[in-house]
Amino acid sequence: MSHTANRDRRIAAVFLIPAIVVLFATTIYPMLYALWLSFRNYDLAKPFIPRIFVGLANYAEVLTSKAFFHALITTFKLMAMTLSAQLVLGVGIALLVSQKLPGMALARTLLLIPMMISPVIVGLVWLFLYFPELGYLNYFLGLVGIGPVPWISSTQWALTAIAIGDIWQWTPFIMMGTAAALQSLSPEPYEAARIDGNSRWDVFRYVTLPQLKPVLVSLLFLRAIDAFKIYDIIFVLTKGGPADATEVISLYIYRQSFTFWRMGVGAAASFVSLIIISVLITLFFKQMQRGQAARAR
Amino acid sequence: MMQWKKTMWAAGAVLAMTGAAWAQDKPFAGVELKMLGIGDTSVTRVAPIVGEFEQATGIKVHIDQLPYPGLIDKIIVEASSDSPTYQLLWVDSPWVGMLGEAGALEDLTSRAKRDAAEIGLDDIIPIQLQENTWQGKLLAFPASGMVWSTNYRKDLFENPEEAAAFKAKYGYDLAPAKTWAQYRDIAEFFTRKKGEKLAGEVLDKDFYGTAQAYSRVQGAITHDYFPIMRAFGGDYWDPKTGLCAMTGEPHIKAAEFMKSLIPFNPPDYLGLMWDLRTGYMERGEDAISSYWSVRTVRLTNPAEAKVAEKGLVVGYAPSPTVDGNPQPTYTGALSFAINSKATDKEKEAAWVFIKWATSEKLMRRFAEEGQGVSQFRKSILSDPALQAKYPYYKVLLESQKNARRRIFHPFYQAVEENFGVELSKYMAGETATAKEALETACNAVNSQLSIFPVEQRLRWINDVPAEVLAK
Amino acid sequence: MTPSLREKFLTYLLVIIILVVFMTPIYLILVSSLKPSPIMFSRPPRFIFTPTLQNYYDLFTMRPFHLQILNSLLVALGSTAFSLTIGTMAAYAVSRIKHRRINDVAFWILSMRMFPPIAVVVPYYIIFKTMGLLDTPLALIIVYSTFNIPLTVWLMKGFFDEVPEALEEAAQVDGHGVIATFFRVTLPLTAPGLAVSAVFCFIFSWNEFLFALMLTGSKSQTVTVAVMSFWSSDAVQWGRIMAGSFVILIPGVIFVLTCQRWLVKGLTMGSVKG
Repeated sequence: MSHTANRDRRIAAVFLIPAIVVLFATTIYPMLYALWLSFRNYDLAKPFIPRIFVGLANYAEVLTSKAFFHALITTFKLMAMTLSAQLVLGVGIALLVSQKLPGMALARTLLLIPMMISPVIVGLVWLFLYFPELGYLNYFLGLVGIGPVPWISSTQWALTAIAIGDIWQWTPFIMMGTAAALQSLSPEPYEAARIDGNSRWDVFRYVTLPQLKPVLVSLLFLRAIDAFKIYDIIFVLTKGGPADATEVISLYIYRQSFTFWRMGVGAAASFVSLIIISVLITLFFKQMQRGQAARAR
Repeated sequence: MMQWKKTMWAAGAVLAMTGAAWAQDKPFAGVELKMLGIGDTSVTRVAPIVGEFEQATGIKVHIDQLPYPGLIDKIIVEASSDSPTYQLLWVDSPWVGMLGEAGALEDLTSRAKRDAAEIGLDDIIPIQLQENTWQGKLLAFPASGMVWSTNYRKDLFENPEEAAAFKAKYGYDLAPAKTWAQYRDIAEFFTRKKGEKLAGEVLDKDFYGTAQAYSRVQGAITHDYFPIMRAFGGDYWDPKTGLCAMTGEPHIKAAEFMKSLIPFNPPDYLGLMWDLRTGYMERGEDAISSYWSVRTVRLTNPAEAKVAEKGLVVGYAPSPTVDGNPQPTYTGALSFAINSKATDKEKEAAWVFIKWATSEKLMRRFAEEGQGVSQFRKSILSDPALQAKYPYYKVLLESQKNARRRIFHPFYQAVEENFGVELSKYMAGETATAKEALETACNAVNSQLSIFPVEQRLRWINDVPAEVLAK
Repeated sequence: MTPSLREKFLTYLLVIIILVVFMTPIYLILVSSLKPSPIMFSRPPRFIFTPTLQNYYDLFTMRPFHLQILNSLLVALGSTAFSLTIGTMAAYAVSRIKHRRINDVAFWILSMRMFPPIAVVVPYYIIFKTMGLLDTPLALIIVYSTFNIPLTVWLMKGFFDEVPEALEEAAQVDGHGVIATFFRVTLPLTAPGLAVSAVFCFIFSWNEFLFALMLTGSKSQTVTVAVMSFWSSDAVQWGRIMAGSFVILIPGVIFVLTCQRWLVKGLTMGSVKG
């Protein structure tokens, strides 16, 4: 026991301390500054407004603001759309391209390209595709008799349009993880299942999927953290519009902090959103640990 | 012989003078200036030739061209710090109030007065200077003038068949719209479906009456709404309280009018902004459209606008009014300013740069080289040769005789953003009435304004005449 | 079981459709970057035209794009090297330490990635201004590392979990210290993880826009800001934007083509044990 503790201490001293020091040094000031701002009426553009301490007023404003809750709901809607589509498409495509056929390796490689592209550029490219009359997307859809769809210029479609851009970029991420996991699965259960004469779907449902679950959970978890902060692609595509159809949390914070220059409200909203995502992730971890414990038993 | 001698003497004198000037004119040699700029014509025409300026003055100028989305953010952050990175700032005139009240911009009044002859202060259209003032002080210098004017398809308007059909339907002659009601008629009249005829030819795609901005991105919809609102007699502020007053009858009517134009717009109207909406005119796909003159300059350039390549003719007219009587033109300016926190020497050097970059000589050179710049000097706009080359010069010159500047309040961004969102919601049908939309937007603005004393609010809405123009 | 001919045909058909859907936007970037401006938005879209390199030429003449590429490279490589060093070590610690509080430390490190970046832009601006680091690559290297270190810890932890501790103990019995064991025995076994972490750190830094916009000026402006700067107050200059975008996506494509195997292996190993 004491041997382990000793070893822990040595490892911590050499390996962990640098990271903690670096992260602490580089983030403590901005975080504290943001925290300080969140208790203040601080207009960066108008120094003539007294930058007074306002207590919890900024938090109260955020928590009672319709716009903030609208943004929160929009964020979760978008997350639900993108994560579910990425999961289904990612796994589906992975199953397809994991078959041992010539050319599949190349297909797997090419499909990784979207996730390497800068989110700003993803926004620009999709903006280019989405122009209702001049964009390529409606042109191609028109060829098969669909549309024209007012992608980013209608409140019904705009959130979907954002989601499509994000799905395009990040389905490859799920696909990549799933494909690799599929290759490492042991073949025996398949043989058994097949001998039993199960349908393909049953094999997938009862043999493959349970084995993939830990990988998928972990991939989705990484995606969820980023999806909660989604910003660049919306900044370029709609800036939260039309109306407030695509105004997510990050856009709300951006508008408060920059367009209205109410840095205090923006900072308060940031902390509220940090708390929300932290709580969700903690719950998620607890759930996972419980799941693992259950399986271990 | 006598003549020859005289010439020699004169040449010698000139040489001597330039020599003296050489020594004297480079008091700022070695100064380096950085400009927080943008990639539009007010900057891109100057940027490639800053080397000429360095040769003449010894001042080195670096221009950083930033994206418009995010530029004002960066200017504000820059202005809030005590030691500037940038000495020169590019500003859009509605920001002048906010930057002025924050003390971010150097007062150019005394310099402009001192060098009035050199910069040809009288030659600049007064409203373009006024656009750059805050509480009477000149805080920026125009590099590109902006006028809200109407572009229309002259060739369609002059088509006899169309003209006759129009007269039959509406009972008056087809001509550039003098009133917004006529504008609506024209937009309605020219809205055609694929397969219908336009000027005798069968259309292979839909043709639109107009293309206005209904997008909230960068407040685009407010740029279209405000000129209409002003034409309907609406004002921004309550002259008694200094609060947002854009909830009155004229404001509501203007919003409703704007909504009534939707059927004559392209289907992507909620996404239309800036170049997306002017693109329809540039490709010859709509009949009439009002916009800032900074984009009008493209219409005569075949490299930028297809309409010029196709040989279609674009006509230019002042923006419509409500009763047909002249109304103050809606103006703006894209300008250069000096960071108030720069050192004195840098400020003087920056002023030398501004004088050079906005000089009549340089502006005329751009015009003659065929590059469109939305000009702001009377001598250039009234030049007959240039007027022939750029038919819109006449409209720019004439319409600014009676002009009233754009909104310039320190809370301009709050106005633009709140009205952008609420108007766009109303146009999208999410808010039931214009009244509700305007009230929501106004309340949001007022919630930020109401904490200030009335005197301060009144000072903010008061457009003090530019001191540089006082005789 | 080998798939029947019909199944093979269907598989290929589907894969081709998927490839077309996923590759079209990238193809359009390339095509549009070669288009002259007046036909950029012609209807129907034109796919056959005389290509021009004008947009690329403009990139390097209207902006110092070659310098901006160097800036981006410097920032991305700098942040990658730094994050990888610090992050890998921390990941090892998180993987090996048995103390029950270690999960809290891991969570704290990961939480660095959760705070909305917009909220800390201005604080960072102020701090770098005070330190005189504004408009230097170092400022961006520091900021990006606060995002890259947590990512590296997250990815690498899975790899270290995979290395049996018995191997390390054997090495230690042979007289190697903790540090020597780490470098000689453990680290080489996690090479795929290092590769995947490096690629993700590089790509994140290379692609970032918001901080790059606010914290850089003419000396250290990066490629994403340069490309966005063709979005001016009167027009979005699509040809140049597309040309710039194409240049920006080159490193990502190179990584995908060269390290695909490692990427895939690395990412799943890291995440299987989450």
